[in-house]
Amino acid sequence: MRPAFGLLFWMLSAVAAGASVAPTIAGGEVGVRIDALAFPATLSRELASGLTNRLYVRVSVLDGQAVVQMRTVEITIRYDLWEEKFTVTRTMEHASSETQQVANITEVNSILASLRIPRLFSARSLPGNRDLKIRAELLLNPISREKMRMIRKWVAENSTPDIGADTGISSSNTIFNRIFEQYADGSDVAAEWRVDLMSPPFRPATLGHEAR
Amino acid sequence: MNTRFLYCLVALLLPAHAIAQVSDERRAEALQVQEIRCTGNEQTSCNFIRDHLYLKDGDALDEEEIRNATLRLSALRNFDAVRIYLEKGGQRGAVIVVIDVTENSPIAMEWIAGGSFRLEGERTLTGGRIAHQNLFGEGKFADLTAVAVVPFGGEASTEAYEVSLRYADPQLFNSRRWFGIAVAGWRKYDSEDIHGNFAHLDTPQFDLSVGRRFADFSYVTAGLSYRPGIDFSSGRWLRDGSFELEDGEDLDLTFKLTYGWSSEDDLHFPTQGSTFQLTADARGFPSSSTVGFSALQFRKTWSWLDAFWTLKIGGEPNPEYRSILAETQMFAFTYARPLQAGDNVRRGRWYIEPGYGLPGFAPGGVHIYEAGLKIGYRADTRMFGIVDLYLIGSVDVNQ
Repeated sequence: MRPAFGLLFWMLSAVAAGASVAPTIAGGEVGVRIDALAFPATLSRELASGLTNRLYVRVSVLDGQAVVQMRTVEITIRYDLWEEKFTVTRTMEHASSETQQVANITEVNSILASLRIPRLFSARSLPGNRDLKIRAELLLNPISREKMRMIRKWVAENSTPDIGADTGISSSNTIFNRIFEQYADGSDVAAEWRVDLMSPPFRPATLGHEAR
Repeated sequence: MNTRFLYCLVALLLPAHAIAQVSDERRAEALQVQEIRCTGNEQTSCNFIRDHLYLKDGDALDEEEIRNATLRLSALRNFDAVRIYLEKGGQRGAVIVVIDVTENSPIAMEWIAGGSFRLEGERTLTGGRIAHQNLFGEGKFADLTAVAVVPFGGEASTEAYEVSLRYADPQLFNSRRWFGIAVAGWRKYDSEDIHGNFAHLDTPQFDLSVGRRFADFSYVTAGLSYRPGIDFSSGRWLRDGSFELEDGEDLDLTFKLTYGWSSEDDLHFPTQGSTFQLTADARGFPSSSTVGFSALQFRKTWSWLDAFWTLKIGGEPNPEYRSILAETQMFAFTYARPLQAGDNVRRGRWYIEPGYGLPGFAPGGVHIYEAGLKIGYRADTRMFGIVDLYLIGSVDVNQ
């Protein structure tokens, strides 16, 4: 199946590139650190486009196959064409946010290369006597299923049905190929760039504390 | 610009994109579109590209609309890649929106080659289609299709040739709702099975159809088919045991009305969705019309267990104005496995398709029950376009 192949490909890509996710703990709260992500080669160019880029991160704590807790974090990066600076904003669960000004693309890449997302879960709320794992799903500029439905409707209205090699969707367009593969797999959000990572097993009580 | 669609889209998307949106919107409110430019377009007009971005000079910058426009443009066959970015305008807060496209070749090709061993008849089917998908840089279509069915053995025989030239306007009258198709072609067909059923057709054919889209994925088309000097004759056994002969007396002008929908994500490589089409025609139009249903087609695809499963009724989607490049079965169930893409193959599948059909009657009104099996390989190649290679065989269950 293409979706499974696709997902496997992304996961393998991440593994091959050495991408990893590891739990962290500070002040009794568990966070994650994500290293060595292989972002698209065009990311630096996109970051400087003047438009807002979004990195959607869904972090789940797993007990075996069961999801114990889940948090979503969105990191937005936008470039001010006049100030020539980047603003990086981290928002958790649509609510609390932190903003920092970044002087140049090198610093932005440095932030993304070693992504630290603290204070996701209270350590006390996690089962302390079980081996847990962290799963991190990262999507760059995600597209919701509803949005794709609307776009497809738009496409249907703007193409001759059953003409030639398409029903509107360009057969060579990688964006749609990848996105539809993910939708066919049942994902609620999809993106052209997507990575799934899994941490080694851990117990909250054994996590080393790190400075904030 | 369809503002209702835009409002709908924005309203629907708000919950999913509420994250960190407020600050972006504040910023976006502060920016104003000074100008919209296109780069990378050599065969596509900038007006055509700009029409897909529902912003104009002087509007407040709407980043969500820019993302939507990127998707809209990416969905078109015209482009391989689309990128939109901002440049500083003449004053602070004024931005130039640059739409940078990488164009696809406007030429698309489709090829088919198959060996067929069906009901005591052995034949090959070969065909090709070459299309220009972006005429005048405005997304209009023209294609040339040729198909040949050549017998090489067996007691039954089918020989057919078809050539057609088609022009299609996806946005007739510059409307998103209306589309139009004009086809000129020639068809020759001769067949005879082992029971004596036969058909002969030799005719030029001119089709003119106008269609309108409605609801989510539905459309209706109305069209005329004109066959000057048609040479048609057929003979077939009927259920009551009689043998019926027909000529082409009422086939020179036919009116067709079609209802259909297509929610598939791709015609050749569907991963989900369905296609349906039902055509009614009135022969002998307009004087002594005989109305009948000439085609019902349905196809639905599921994605399951690392494969794609497709149920087909009436063959591959085959609108009346398109000569589909496929040899089909009346009822079929397809199991298709995707293949790894490579340097020369964008995507590919092999498939196996058991099928069943009721092609007619034998003497005495006995049903002919055709059970068939098709195996094939379909790929979207960089050099040749869509390629479909297959073998199909079938037997009469009664024999």
